[in-house]
Amino acid sequence: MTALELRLEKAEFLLRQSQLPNPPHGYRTVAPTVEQLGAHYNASPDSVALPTEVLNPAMPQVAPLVYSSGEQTSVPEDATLTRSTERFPPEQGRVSASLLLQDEYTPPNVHTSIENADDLENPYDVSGDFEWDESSARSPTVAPLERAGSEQSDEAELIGDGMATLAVDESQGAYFGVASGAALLRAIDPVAAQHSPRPVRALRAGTRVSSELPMHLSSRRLVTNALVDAYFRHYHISYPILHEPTFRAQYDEVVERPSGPCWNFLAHLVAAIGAFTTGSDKAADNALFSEVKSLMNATYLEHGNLTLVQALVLMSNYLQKKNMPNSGYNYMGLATRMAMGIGLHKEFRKDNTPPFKMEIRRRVWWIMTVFDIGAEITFGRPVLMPAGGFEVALPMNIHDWVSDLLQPVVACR
Amino acid sequence: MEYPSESPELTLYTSIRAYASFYLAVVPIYARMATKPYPSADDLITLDDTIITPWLASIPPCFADSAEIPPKHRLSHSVLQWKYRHFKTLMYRPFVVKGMLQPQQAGVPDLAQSRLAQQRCQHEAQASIEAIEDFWNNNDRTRLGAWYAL
Repeated sequence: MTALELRLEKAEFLLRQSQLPNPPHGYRTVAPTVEQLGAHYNASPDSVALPTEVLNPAMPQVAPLVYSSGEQTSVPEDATLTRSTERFPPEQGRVSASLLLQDEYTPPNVHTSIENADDLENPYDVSGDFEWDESSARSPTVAPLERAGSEQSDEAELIGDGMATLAVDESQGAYFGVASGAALLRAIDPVAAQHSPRPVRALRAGTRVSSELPMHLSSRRLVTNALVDAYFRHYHISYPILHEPTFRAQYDEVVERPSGPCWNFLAHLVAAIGAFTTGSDKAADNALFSEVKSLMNATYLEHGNLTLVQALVLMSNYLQKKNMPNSGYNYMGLATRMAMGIGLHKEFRKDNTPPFKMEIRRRVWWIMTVFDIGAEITFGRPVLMPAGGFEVALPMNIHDWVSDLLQPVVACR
Repeated sequence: MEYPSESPELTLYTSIRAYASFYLAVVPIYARMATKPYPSADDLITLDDTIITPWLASIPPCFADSAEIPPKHRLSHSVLQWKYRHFKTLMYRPFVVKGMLQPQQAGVPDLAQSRLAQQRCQHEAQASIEAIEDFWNNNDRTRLGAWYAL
């Protein structure tokens, strides 16, 4: 049996497992052709509403989101939808995809899952922030992650194809968008997806995985209060990629430090940049520079989490400021890929993602993007920003200290 | 939890919004510049007037070039001005170089636009230098400030 046949067989198995009853006239009755839809609703074929992902234009049309007098005093409840409407005013005769689906055959168990194109776009649960961990997939030295739903996880492992096609468990939590096979399986089999394990939790401090990763130095020993203060006084004021109260609470161990050794890496970078900005102690600056470089480990790239994205972005900018622009450029490539792997480029409804988390994600994405494009133009290299497929809003213009967004410090992992 | 209302005042995030909006605006211009053949002076002037000028006008009053900025935000505020002036200098720089190497004669097509491009380049370069000098002379001199300014 060829690999392709094996994969097809697995796909069939999944579909059989998905509780999707056989449609009486095949799938075309659920998803009629564009021409059929147009005729039925007296609309031109190209006026049929498409998922936001498809409609999203290239970058120039994103720009008007920003700054016009008195614009955007608050983020709408569904920012994605609103912005799409701004770019694509309602057209006469435009047909809702959900309406079409209701009018045609609608399997009872499927209807609630795909009645809105957003449901393919928005995952069932973003409580894990799309953070992922594949470090146990290949390395025999790392103990298998503890999994609560063992039956489901075993099955998911068996059908893994490395293409995010058959992964009902979304490859352990990473972001997969509307075009992915995972999104389709999520829609047709939400129960299986919800029961899938979230091994990314294992990255938290004190777990077996984190103990396998290098923790060369105690952050307490090197990251002094003075350097952290210098970072926030000189650097953070221009590039607030961290949420200062959250980081300080983690630093003081008032709240849990997230992502195991990744946080340690981030904390060292904060100290190193703090030392760079003061410029008063060259020896400490250079020692921290060496220390930070030694902390970077290829194993990190088998994970995806917000802490690591923040660290990679800071590493990139730090290297540039330390006159290693090409090295910084490479790190930015890692940061941008990891950022999209955890879906930072996407906007999520507040019923899926609390405003605090969403706002932090926006800040990290846009600060990363500003660094990335700035360096690309500076170096005369192509801008690799996605031409479409992203719609995350700009950070809000708010004072953290008067905002409710400040409150959930303990909620930030 | 609900999203709070946005502030009309300068916040920690005003600069990032401005930087991001600037890059979103100019990336299409940069793509033209980075792809052969280089755009004509006329094309660049049009792109400047239709993209960068409206972007500049869209910056909120609290972060405009002429706004009174608290000391701690002056570097990020100045960096924005340096960014866009530097970008415009880059846009038009080939016409200055070309004008120096090959003085254009009257009657050459696009001559007026080439001269306007040269003037804009020199204007932005001069304004950028003056802005940096002003920043350097009137603010605390930090290493980070020096990295951007010097």
